[in-house]
Amino acid sequence: MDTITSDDILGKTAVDPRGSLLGVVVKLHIDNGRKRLQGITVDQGFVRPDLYVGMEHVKYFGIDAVFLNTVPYQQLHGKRVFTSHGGYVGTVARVLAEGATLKGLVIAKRKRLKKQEVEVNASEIKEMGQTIILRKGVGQA
Amino acid sequence: MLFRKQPPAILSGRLQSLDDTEQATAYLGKRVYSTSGDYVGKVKDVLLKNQALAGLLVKGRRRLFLDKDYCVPGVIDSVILKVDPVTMLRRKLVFDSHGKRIGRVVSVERSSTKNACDAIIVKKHLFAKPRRVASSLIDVSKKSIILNKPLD
Repeated sequence: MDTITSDDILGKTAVDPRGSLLGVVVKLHIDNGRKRLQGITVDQGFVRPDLYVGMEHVKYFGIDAVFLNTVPYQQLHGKRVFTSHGGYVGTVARVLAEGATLKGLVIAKRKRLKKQEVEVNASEIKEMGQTIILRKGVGQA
Repeated sequence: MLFRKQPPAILSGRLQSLDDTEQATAYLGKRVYSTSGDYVGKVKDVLLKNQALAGLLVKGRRRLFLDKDYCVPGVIDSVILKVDPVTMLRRKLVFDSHGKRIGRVVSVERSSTKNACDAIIVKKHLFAKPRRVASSLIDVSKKSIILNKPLD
């Protein structure tokens, strides 16, 4: 029987499907009524808030890492956004999501002391890494 | 605007106007991002071969020459690449499919100068024996590398 203990989960690194290291698993959440593991809390570091991940988003408890099957979209906040040709659009001000599904981003940019907000649909996003790159034809003024 | 007031006089047997041309200086100092959105470095120089643009010299953690074919044409605020440079695999953490931490990439094996790697050399710690992992075993290679099968 494939049984693991809390020692096999706590202290392990949480890794999202893109390979990003989210942090260290510090807590287990157990449903007291059903005696089932409900989720885990990931410590993302000194400045960032803890991240709660429900069991439906945990793919696998590995030997040295816990793999998730969803990218936590809270990570996108504050990231720079560029067009497909390298034009700077702005930074992510808000993430629009329904549960774990990303719906879109609200991008803030400053134009001559005036703050503008642009909404971009999730389908218009090409890549999300250290920065976000939009698809061709999107975000070009 | 490319030109301040009047466009320059043209002395050329090939070009009738400068409308579809770009200034090489527009690339200098621009940040370069891979196709995944990861920061690669800044453009330090534009290199020519036989009087034609060959590529960009980029300085990030290391100096890197990027062929012009790997760059999306046109630069506005930054240069976006069409690829994820394999040289950026260095120093990335490697996990196998069972979540076991294999180590960090210390070098990348390439048989040519193209953006393709044959294998990665991984070391668990400074004094550990290096381990060769074929590129066919790599499932995900973004922020860290996840293999598609367990390694003993």
